[in-house]
Amino acid sequence: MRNKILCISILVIALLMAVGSVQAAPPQREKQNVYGITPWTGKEYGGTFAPKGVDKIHLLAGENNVLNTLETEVYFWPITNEYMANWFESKVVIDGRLQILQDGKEIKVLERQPYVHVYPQGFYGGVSKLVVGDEAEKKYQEYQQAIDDYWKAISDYREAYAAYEQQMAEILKEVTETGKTYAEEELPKAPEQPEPPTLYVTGVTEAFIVNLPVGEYAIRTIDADGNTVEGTDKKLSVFEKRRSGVGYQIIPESKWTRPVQSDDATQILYLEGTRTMYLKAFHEAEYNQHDFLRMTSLEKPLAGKGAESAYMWVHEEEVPDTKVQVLQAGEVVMEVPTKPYYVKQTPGYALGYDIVEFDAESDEFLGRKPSFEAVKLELGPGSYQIRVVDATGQVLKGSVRDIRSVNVVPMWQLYLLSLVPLIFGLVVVLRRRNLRLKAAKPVTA
Amino acid sequence: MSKMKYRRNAIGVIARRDIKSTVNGIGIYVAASLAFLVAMLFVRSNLKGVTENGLMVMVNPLNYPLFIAVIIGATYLALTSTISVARERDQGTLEVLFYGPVDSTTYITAKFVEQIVTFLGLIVVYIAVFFIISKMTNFGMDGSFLAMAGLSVLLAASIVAFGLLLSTVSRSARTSVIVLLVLLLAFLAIDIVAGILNSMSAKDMSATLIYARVAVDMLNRGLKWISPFAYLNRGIAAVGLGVASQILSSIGASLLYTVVLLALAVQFLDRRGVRK
Repeated sequence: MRNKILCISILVIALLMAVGSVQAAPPQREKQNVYGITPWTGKEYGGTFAPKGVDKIHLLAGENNVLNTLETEVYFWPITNEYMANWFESKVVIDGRLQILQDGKEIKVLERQPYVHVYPQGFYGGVSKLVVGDEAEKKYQEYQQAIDDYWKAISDYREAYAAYEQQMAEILKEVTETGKTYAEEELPKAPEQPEPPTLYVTGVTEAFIVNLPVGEYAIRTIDADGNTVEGTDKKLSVFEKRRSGVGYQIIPESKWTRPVQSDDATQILYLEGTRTMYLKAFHEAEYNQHDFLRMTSLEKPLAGKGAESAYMWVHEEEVPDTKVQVLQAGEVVMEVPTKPYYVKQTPGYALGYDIVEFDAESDEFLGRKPSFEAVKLELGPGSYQIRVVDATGQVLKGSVRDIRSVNVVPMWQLYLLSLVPLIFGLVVVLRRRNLRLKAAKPVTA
Repeated sequence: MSKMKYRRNAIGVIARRDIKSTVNGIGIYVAASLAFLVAMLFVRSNLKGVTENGLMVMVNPLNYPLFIAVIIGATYLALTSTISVARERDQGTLEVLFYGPVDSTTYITAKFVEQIVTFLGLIVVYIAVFFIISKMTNFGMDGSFLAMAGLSVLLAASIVAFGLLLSTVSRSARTSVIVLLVLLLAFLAIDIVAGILNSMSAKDMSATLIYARVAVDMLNRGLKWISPFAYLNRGIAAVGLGVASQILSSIGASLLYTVVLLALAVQFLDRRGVRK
């Protein structure tokens, strides 16, 4: 009996180990000709690719989008339900040109062009630009020059700092030996550390720059003899935004890490009592959800599926130097500019924070950066309208929103209101019955 | 008197008689109160949401309660018209009427006119009550609410026409009532589920939900020209975009849908005859 149990246990463990080893097996990689895609998403450049199984690429109309025909290893990653490309170990550029067809007719043949991505506020600064052609090389050289200048400045700074330390050591020695004192202005000034350049430019690469009007196209990569490179035939759908406007990110003072969004002008902001909030305004565009998600996440076979009839707002760049006007009964009652704010944690064990205006000059904020920049609004009970105005005082289209503070009504009042038709109906029916009874009464002498 | 004048006169007489009967009965008042009670649950939920969060962004929170109230009212009217056609056939009233200057077109049009006039009265009451609610809660009545109220007449017209069609197709009142309720509930459920799935953040959707969305989207596309709610959605979307041509075409499509349903109802009534 004991042997039997032992045998079964060993069998079960062996089976589990076998299953485990099957699950841990690396996914099957396959060499494929793919399109590496860097689409403009309205705010920044994204990154995706079109493997063998994907037959349609989506791009925004009237924008420079980057496409490159590459050979790489592709595998499916079931955990996140997406195709992955092994770019680090296998990436070969396939020579050729990009042929674009519409209704079966060739409309364009693109050659590869040099390009760079320029990030004027740094790689994590958000905004990026695509620079194409000869200008790309110039931009990259400019960036390299800025980096070289920075390292030279750092080298100079180190030397200057060493000299400064030497000077200070000598002064200190003199003070110790002679007791002579120095006024602050007599002391040497410490050299200032140079700031690294904020600009970031990617290395120059060559790819096809696709900029097309709205429409349905077909693309393929053709070699020097004009033959189609295997696996490069794809459909291309070029779409545009449905409408644009101004969206708001609303940071409630009571929940600053959980902002809410107002994307559509039909949306109303409801408040309870007096509330303080911080608003950030963004330019925004509304796209077909299916097309937009297919454009940004083509490597995910399920992206955008079933959303062909849905639309989504996408926040683009923040409106610079936002000023928000608050109106009551059509009159402007407040105009508030954007200011920097700092979230100060409450000292002690109790959780909590205060949001205070950030003053760069104040000692309190020395070495700190503002938590966010926004327009602060403190609104009491009532009905308002807000809108964004630019530097010239022009109201930005699509920026008007209604704000209303709700009245807390006891629910029984609303339910009682629901019964009014029933009460009215009962009165009508009873009155009719009475009339009928009166009419049916026999006439007596 | 010309044939058209006879017909108009007959439509007026039948419609007036039925409206009087509806107004003097308790049913319409019960339906209106029920519609308000259900609508109030949604009003309450929105009010609670704002008071609990302190700050909330939403489209006019009275739009959805109005939509629910409209559906309850229109479904009630469709049910009563379905039942009344069946009952008038069973009791022989229909046969008697058709001995006079009444034909299928006159009869179906009269039934339709009666329900639409009743619904117009109902929508006036709805707007009045929602106006009081908006003042009590300060939810406000904006353009989207008024557009919804206007478009709801078209929705009610198509639901009533749908009910009339079923009453002429089905053998019994019970069958037509059950079929009407099942179809309306199915159309509504698909519409609501599609709305919920489309409003969810697509980026964080699980594979199961995506497959569900694909299935619902396919159903929705299949029902695009069949479901009365699809016509309403197109109208609301067009009003939201503010494109006059789209608003007009959605209104036109909704009217055409109603006319087609009524024409089919006339055809089926002619084919089946008026005898029990």
